[in-house]
Amino acid sequence: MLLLLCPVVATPAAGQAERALDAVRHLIASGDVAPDTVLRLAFKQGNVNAYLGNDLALQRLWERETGIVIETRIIPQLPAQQVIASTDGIDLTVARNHEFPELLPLGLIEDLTPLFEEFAFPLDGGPPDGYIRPDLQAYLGDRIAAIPADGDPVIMYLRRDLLDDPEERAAFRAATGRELDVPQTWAEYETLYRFFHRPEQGLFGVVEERDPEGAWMYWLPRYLSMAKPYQPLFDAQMRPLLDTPQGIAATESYLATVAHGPPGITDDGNNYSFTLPLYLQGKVFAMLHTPSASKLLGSPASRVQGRVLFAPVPGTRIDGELVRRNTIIYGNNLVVPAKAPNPKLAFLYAMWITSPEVSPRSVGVRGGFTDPYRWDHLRDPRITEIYGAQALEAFAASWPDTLPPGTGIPGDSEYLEVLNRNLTAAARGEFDAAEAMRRTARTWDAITERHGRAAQVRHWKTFQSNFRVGG
Amino acid sequence: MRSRGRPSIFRYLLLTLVGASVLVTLLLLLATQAVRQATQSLEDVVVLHVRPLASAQRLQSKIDTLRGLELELQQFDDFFAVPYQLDNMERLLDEIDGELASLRPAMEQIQPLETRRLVEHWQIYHHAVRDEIRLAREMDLAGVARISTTRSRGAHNAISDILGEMIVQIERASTAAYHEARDEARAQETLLATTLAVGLLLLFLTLWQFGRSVSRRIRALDVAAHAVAHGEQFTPIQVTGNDELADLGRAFNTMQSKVAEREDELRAAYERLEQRAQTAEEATLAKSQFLANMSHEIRTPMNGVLGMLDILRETRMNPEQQDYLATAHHSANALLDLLNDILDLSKIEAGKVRLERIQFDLEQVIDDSIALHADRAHAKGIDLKTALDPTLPSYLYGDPGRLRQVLNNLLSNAVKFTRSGEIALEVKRVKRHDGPPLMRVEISDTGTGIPRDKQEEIFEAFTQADGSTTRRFGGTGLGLTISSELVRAMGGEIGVKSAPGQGSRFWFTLPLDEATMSDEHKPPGLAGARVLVVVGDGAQRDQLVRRLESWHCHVRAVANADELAEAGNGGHLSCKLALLSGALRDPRTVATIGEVHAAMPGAKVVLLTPPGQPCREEDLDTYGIDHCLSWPLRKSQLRNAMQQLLVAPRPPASEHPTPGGRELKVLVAEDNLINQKVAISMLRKLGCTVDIAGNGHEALERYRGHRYDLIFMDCQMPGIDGFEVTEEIRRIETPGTTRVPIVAMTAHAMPSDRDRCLEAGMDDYLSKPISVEQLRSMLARWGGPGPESGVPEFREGTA
Repeated sequence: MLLLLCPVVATPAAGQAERALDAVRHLIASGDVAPDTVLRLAFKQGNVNAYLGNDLALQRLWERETGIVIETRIIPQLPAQQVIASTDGIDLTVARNHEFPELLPLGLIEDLTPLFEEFAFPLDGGPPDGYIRPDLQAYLGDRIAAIPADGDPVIMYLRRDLLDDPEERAAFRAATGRELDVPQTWAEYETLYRFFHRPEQGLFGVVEERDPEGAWMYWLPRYLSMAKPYQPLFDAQMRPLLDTPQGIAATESYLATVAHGPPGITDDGNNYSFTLPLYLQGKVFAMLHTPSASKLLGSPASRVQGRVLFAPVPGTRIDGELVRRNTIIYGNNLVVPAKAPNPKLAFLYAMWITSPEVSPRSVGVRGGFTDPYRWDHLRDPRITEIYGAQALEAFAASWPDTLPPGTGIPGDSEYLEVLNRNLTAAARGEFDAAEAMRRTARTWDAITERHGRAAQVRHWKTFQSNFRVGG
Repeated sequence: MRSRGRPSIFRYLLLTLVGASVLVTLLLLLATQAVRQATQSLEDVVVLHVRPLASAQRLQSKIDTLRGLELELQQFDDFFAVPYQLDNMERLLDEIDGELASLRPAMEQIQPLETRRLVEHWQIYHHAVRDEIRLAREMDLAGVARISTTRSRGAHNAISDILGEMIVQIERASTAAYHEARDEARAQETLLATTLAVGLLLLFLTLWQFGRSVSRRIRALDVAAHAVAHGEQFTPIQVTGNDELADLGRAFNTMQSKVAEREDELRAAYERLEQRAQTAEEATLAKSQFLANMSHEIRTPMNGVLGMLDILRETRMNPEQQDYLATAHHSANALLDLLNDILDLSKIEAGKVRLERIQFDLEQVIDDSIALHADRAHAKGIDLKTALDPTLPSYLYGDPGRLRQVLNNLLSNAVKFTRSGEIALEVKRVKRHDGPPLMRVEISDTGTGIPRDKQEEIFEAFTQADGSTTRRFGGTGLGLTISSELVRAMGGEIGVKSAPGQGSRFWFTLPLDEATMSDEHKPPGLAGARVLVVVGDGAQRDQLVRRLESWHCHVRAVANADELAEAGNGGHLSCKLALLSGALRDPRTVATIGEVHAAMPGAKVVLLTPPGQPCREEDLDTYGIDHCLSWPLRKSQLRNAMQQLLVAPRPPASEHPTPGGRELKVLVAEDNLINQKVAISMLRKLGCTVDIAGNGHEALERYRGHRYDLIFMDCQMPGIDGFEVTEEIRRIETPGTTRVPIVAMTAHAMPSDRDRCLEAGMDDYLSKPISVEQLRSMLARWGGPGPESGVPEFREGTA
């Protein structure tokens, strides 16, 4: 009885993890949650280890502390909308950041704002201890759609050994008249990978995912950096700005990698599971990817262990000023499906697993793509050992330039699907960059009309308000 | 001292212990050997079979796990999930390599061919998995699947088959080896158990034989000792062996021989002592008999002297003659006191003091004793006071006669040795922590006192504090000795605290044996009587009130006339009797009497006067008094006075004590002519017709020829004595006829005499010398119609 009269959260002084566990115990004691409840989680194959721990250590810890048993399902790398809509009984799953604008308005996931308030979950925060950019990772407007769980800006991977090789440096100088150095612009980047593209030696210049599923992810950082402060996708009336010179230039930069990458790079399904092994085997000079790749590069099986340099993505020099823009490309953050049988329990699990106390053990596993999402992760020795200090520096440096992913408006998946399709077709040589952009712009207009331009204009305006260059 | 090398029980037990230890050691060695063999066999089973079996099963499990990971890997589509899987597979490969390396030597011993085949296939499988890992790192999952199908599957299947077969073979071999080891262990167990049983049997037989031998010899000693203890003639026990028990047996025989000799000596000494004791007892009996005879011989003339003096006192004499007579009577009584003291002391020394345990009125005994000495004390101007502890019970169990005797002795001494001042008798209850309460009696005086060094001697016979005392104060010097012996006989203590010139305080204690008042002790006619008490002295008033209340009277007590007026509350008091304290001629007394009559019309008034100020007969009517008593009040006097005034007027006293004034016919059997004369004179004076029989025969003849109301029987008469005459009379008496009362009249004063009288059939007892009062009492008691049969209560007539 006393427990029922007590506040839900034990004490403000207790840590986030302990308060989450106390809240679970309270729910059980008050009868809101049955002791034999099973918490059903749905994760992708690549982040099972992160959320359950190596050898299920975190799962056992949770179960020991709460008595609530966890059951895990593996879901495919499909849009969350499909997974959530087609799967019942899931309490907690992951969704990419750019999916929030569709999932929440469609009522597929819970608006977590009340739960954050109920359990006094301090989401807002900044360096040195809070979540990184919750405005990008969790919020949709003034509502909270997800609990941040995977910080996924793009960073650049370069072969340090080749950059530092005196002969290569001399050759580069002779060929370009410039010093071989970390590229600051997309043009310099292209020059470098062109220089190192030597298929006959088994070395490809660059490897970026060019499969249809993720085309927009590697295009958007290029596009956003084509104007100052950034290049928007639409004008104020939702007229697409893709077929502008900036859009075409960004697309050309995107397409240029194909010729300097490994064969089959544009094939369906050749995502990071195609690109990363090549880079780990030392067959590629440059790569763009989320920070998680650095964990694999540092593993004993990697042939480039200790031979890779990490840097923020390049930018575009506009009026003498380098405009470097980034976005969140994967970002598997935690969402509670609207049909979740135990939404509070799921929320508290997310509160617990992303807490300062527990999350280092989650992010700090080598076998998984979950990346740091709290500032305190950057100081954690385990995480530093796995990622490497330099990778984390590049990761931290990327956030001020990072802008929201996707279109940020209803119909995002449609917009991006069209973009992906045309970028892939162009990459496969079916038409050039200008045509790809024209086709995309035309179709986007149609999508906008279908959704209602006026409404889309409002949504776009709201979405754009979140664009804060400089973090 | 025991010589070395002799057999002893200790050595025998030591040898047995050593034997048992050797047996235990042998058994332990055997057991250790058996355990070692069994352990070795089991260890062989474990090393050769169980361990390889477990290892093979573990190997099988790990290879199956590896195969599972391998197949699972093919399903992966996310490169981020692959490294962890590959790490696990590589770890398993290393573990299986290690397991196989450690298992291989043992397995090659038992299944060399299969082991070689296993190693060969494992190497194939190992390489295949390594290749799969390599391809998986390139995310070539198709290549992984290809190797898994083409190389891994076959190798894994072959390994599983070989391991399965090996496991079966090892299981069979281990089962067989286990059965062999088990059979061997059981054989060892049987051998051990047999050895243990035989050893224990031998040990038991040895101990049993030894125990039986020891037990038999101890039993023999025990039987002999019991026989001796029960006074049987000692027969030496048969001693066998040469150990401690044999020594004990010999020592026992020697000791018994010595004991027998001592017994003979003791027996002889005892017989001598017994003879002396018998002689002494005979002497004591002779002495007692002598005393009895002397008592009889002295009492007989004393009877004559006192009897004649009593008779003479009834005759007319001039004053000079009366003085002479009084002196003679006093001298005769002194002689009788001396005689009684000597007789008492004789009884005490002979251990023949017989104490009664009857219910008695303590206050009555004290009153009687005080009254006995009140006149003498008053004559000397000595104030005689009593104080009775109110918590004391009214009635006690004990011997009132002996208590009275002690009180009289002490009071007599106090009066004797006190010239002026006062004598106080105080009786109180004394509580004890370690027993029941006591009654403590203290008699203090203001007399000459006793020096400290003489205080112990005064309780010894024939001793007084000063040799001149006897001469100055008279007395035998036996009183305190007799009192001391009587108090001790009654279970108490006696002592004195005194100093020359400061008086003496004699005290004694007795057990307080409380009795409840029986109906026979309740004075009839007093219960419920309303009595007014007007006594100024608070202590006297309280004592009087307690006494009246013990008789269940309703008492109203006041101190004086003023309180009387308040008690009357202006009206009449309802009391029927008033007890007033005061001097007769004191105006205040006279006034109080008047107020009593005014308040209680018709009430009887008893005046309680100070000591030595009795009322005269003519004063009663003059002052309106119905009765007069003097302080200290005797309980019996008060009770009689109250009964007389409240119950009914008593008939005027008759000279004839017999019931209805009838003239009694009395036979006196007495051989002594003087005594005959005394008895005849006294009995005739008491209104009886008296026949005299001078001996036993004459007494029987007279009995047969006449019918007597009472027979006084002298015990010692020539011819047939009084006992035989009584027995004959009782024999002659037929049932249904009137049983004639027979009262012994003898100078024999020993208790044995009284018993003998009772046994002979007599009804009562008078000790010579007899007095008129004694005879009057006997006539009053036995002169009425006697009981038809049975023996009436016998009381010693010592009134």
